[in-house]
Amino acid sequence: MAMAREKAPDILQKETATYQKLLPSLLTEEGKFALIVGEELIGVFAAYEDALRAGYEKAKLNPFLVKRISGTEDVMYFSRDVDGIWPTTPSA
Amino acid sequence: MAHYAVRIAPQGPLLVVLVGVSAPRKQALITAGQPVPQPVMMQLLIDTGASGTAIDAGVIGQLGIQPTGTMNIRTPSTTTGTHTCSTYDVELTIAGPLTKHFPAHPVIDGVFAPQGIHGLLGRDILKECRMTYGGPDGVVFLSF
Repeated sequence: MAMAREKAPDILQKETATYQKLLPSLLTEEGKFALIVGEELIGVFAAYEDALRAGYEKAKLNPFLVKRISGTEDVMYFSRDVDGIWPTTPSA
Repeated sequence: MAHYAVRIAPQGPLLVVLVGVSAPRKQALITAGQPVPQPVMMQLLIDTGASGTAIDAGVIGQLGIQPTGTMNIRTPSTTTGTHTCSTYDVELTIAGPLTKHFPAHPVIDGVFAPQGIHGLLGRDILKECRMTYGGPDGVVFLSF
């Protein structure tokens, strides 16, 4: 079993909670990218890079979340362990 | 079109990639009057078993990047569930006679040094290219 590193602080906790709260109303924009700063939805963008650019313009170097809008949570698959990259608790 | 011949090392095909802060973050650093970290040269394992790209956590720290996203991942160790991890926006540059450039790309971080690599180049990047595995020649060919 892989040894997990110490958990990193979840600096996007507030933004993630905001995304989950807004998700039902965002589903009409599924596949696009939501930009959230704190508890505020700044906008929805067609491209990841556009959302990122708007995020840095709005929040500067402070935390913000760019999240692809999806009714079912996106999952990345890795056929090998990537050794302790879990900064948050198991999600399922 | 950019073409690359990648030698198959004992760890697998290792592609040399420059990893730096994303173009939008670079602009934010310049606007804030802060120094822009130099990109780091890394050997990434071409991994068709990875749906995303993963970078060594030490390099993420070296570049001073904070997470700008989250992603659920599934690995052999997550057994029946998934784990939520942070994603980081980086710039990826594949150097060669013609350079292939990804100015803003989300990656996860991991610990790869014990495996003799600096990270995994996953299908999120490989979907942009044609790949030929030249096993008898010990070379993988990529064309973007």
